[in-house]
Amino acid sequence: MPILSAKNIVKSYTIGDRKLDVLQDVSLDIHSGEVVAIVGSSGSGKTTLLGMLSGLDQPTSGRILIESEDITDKGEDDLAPVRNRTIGFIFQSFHLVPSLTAIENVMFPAEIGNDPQARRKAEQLLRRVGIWERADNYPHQLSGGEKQRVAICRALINEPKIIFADEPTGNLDSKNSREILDLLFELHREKKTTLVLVTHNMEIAGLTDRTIPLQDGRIGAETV
Amino acid sequence: MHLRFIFRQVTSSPRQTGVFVACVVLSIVTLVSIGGFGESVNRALLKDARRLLAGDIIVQSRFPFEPALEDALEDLATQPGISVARTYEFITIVGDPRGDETLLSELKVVEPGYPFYGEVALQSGAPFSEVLRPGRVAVGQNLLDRMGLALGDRIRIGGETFEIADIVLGEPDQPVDFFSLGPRIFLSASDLVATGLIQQGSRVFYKALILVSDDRAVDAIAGELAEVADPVQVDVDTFLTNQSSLQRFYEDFLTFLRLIGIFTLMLAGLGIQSSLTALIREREETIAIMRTLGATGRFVIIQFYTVAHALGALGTLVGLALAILLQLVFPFLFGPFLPPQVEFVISPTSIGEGILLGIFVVSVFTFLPINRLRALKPRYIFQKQSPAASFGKVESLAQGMILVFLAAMTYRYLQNAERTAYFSAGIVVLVLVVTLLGQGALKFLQRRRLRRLDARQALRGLFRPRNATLAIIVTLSTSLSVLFTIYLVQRNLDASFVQAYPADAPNVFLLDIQPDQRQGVREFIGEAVEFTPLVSARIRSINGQPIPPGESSEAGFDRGRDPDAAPNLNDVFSLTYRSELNENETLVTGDALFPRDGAEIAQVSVLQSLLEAHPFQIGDQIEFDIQGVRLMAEVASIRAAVREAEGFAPLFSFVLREQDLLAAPQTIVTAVNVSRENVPQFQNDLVRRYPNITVIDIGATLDTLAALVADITTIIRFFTLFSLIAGVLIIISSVLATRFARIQEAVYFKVLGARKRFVLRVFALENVFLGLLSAALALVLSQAAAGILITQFFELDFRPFIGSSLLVMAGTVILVTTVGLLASVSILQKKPITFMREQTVE
Repeated sequence: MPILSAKNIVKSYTIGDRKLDVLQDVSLDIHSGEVVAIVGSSGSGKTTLLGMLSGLDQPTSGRILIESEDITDKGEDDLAPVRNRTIGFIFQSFHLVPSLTAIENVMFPAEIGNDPQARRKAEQLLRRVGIWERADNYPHQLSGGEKQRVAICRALINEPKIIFADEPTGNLDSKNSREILDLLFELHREKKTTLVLVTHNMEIAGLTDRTIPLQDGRIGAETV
Repeated sequence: MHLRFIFRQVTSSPRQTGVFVACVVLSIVTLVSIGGFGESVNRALLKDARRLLAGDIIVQSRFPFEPALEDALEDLATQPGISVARTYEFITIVGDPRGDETLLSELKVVEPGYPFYGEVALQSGAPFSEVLRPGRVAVGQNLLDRMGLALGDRIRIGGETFEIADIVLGEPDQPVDFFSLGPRIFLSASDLVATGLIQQGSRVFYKALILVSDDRAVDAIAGELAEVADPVQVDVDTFLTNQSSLQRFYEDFLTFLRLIGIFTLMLAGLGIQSSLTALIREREETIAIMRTLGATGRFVIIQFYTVAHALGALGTLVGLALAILLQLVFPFLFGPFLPPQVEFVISPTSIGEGILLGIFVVSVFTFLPINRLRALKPRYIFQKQSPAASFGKVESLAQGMILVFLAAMTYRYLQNAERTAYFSAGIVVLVLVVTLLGQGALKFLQRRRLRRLDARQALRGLFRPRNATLAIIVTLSTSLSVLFTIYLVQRNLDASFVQAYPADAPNVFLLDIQPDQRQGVREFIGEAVEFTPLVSARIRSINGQPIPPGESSEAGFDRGRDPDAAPNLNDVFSLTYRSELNENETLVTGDALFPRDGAEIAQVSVLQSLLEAHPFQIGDQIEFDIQGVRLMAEVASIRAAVREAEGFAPLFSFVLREQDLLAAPQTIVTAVNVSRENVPQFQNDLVRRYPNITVIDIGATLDTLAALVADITTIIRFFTLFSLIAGVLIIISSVLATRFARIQEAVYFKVLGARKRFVLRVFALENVFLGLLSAALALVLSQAAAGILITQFFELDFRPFIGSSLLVMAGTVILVTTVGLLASVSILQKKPITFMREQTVE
């Protein structure tokens, strides 16, 4: 039973009188514990697909199922518990809340879920990724690598079943990229989460269990 | 100049440009409408100074004219080209001869010829001189309404009855009647004696109006009259020198409104500044691209100045249109308070001034955000960073410009350097105090760590980068503190004068009782009453030294009765006689009120406060002038007196023995307690028996006062409301300025699993904090300001009205929260994916 399924996803935009098909009949299954890379060049539709899979966006047609639950037509508020408990996000641009410190950013999803252990868990995670001493710093006081570590901790605090990572090293230098990827894979092994990675970098894709290539909105032949 | 670029900037951020234009509209509409209001009232009052005086020269006094002045007036009346008409104004009780109905009225007894200018407008349209013949009166409509009388009925005035011949619609020398104690009655002077109302010591306002056909002779004749008139008791003015109390009242009131206008201009200016900042922030990327492509800082600044002035021109036009529309609404809003013949028009000069004002307002308040563009480096934008906040030359220059502009505007309206300096300094101090308090409160809050997640996030929101939290708090607190202060002062005056009147305190005052009526009045009242005789007198010399000539105090009458007012020996004093100290008095010097009770020379006890004017000692000899009769009195004691809580006992500067003053012309007053519902009956019965006695019902007078205070506060509140609108616009512009950050937060919250309700709660709580902080600061400041005004200026006990104040505070919080949330609606509706897509470069 796949933890995440996409069935015949189509996503079209209309710009003026021009119709643009970003995704065309995309179907895929991802199983629990897998590390999957969705790869493609710029404009291939991979970030759009990630948006559909994570419920951030709705397809024009087709269905998305997470743990066999159809999330396609769910409204924002119905998706809130899914986003809070089942899914974790890591973005290329980090997307940390600027008005919160590093530890507050990490605690935030747990606090929304009324977890009384939020601070303890956040502390553990920050220590684990080696930036505990930066816990009280605001995002603008952190380097790119530090920001992404905070984002990883935030994605993990509620121990979600799936983590979506959209070009997680896209804004980092090569040294930091390497460290972040090592960290991500280590944490994946520790926490046994499913990791869905979007990247244009084939080297990174080579580190995953399975690669789903995307070209002009269609899935090509997968490599394992 | 790139016109297409400018057009795009104006049209592509409708919210920001909307707020910018609204702030310009607000500043123009406030100042132009207050200016127009003032201009219209002034024109109505000053259109014809002669009409307002009803003559070329006016001679007026609270006392009968002295023989020398009488002779001079008689002489004048015989000269060709000169006419004299006397008027006598006083309050009296009139009655319905058919029944018991009586009413306190303002009687104006006039000789033929009155008014020399303007006309007494009558309902019939007939000439006043034809209607006001002996045996007939013209009355205000309110007299007929209140007494249930009709034209042709008869009315009893003093000892005579008169036919009501017409209804008075307006009189030239009293265009508004909101200070009046009762309806107007015009009576012919030939009937005055028959009424028997003017007796010894009666309180009458004596006037002589003089018509001089040769304009050049006016000053000379007025000068001659002034020479023979007693400078203390009598005022001689020409139509050019006379300024009525009504004019002074309106002048002060308009000055106050203009100051509120300047205050609103300052707040609207801050709104202009903050909305333009929001507009520029949305355009930062465009600016960065322009700079990258080689645009100079000067080029960018010129483009944005053009944008600002294009929007400013739009705002100015809309503001002028609204100001003109408001003039049409004024008669409905402030009707009873305004002169009836006032025409609300905005002159071309006002429109020209409005346009100039619009240009100045936009130039001054956009200087800072536009000139900051020079420091905007493309790399900051592309890296989505903010340049470090700094306070440099541009900031100092901008603040200096704003201050000079506001001071110049204040001077333009007040035409008084000292008042301008006080007002400007007051505003600076108020803003500084609010800023310091606001900063302190924010610092305190920044350190708080609240347990609730939504509250904590909301608190953090106040410190969001680029948030104008302090600016909003300063703006809201200053405008609210002015509004709250007005509210508290009104409530205190209302409570002290109107509601706090003790039920068992004397509430009916009887004036003009003649000495031989005392026994009868005592019997009529049926209980022990204390009669207080009043004898008007001036001091001629002390120990043989004449009083140096000088100006009498503003009122021209005894100020020594008020222990806090500076006494003036040139004033007319009210003397009284009695044999014992009052309960509120203590002896400072001397063993008794009159230790040498048997002395032949008159004995006088002096109030301690008079020592400020002269170092009186026991045994000093004071020569009084009682309506031409000299009385030498020896200082027997010096008393101190405190004003009683209720403030009813008059404080007399000089108290003499009964035998010293009994024969002097005097009036006697007393006060009694009559239950409110029995006052009309009491008044009717007393007046039937003693027509010359005037009965003042304090309850009714207080009602008139309360209505007047309410009218004035309505107008002040109406104009102060503009400053509150400025505060609201600043909240909206602040939400717009931080729109990106708010959307970002809302999106992140949602992506991390928060429901819309949570985001809504966070934004609502942020505005609640903002409103609470601003309202609390405003409340503290207004309590202090109102406390000082009430205790120091009005000399009353201050009541803080905590319950009502908290309600007002709650109202403010609701307003701020609603405005903040409404401005955030589009932010809440933004879908996470839309925002993320905009932020992510694939």
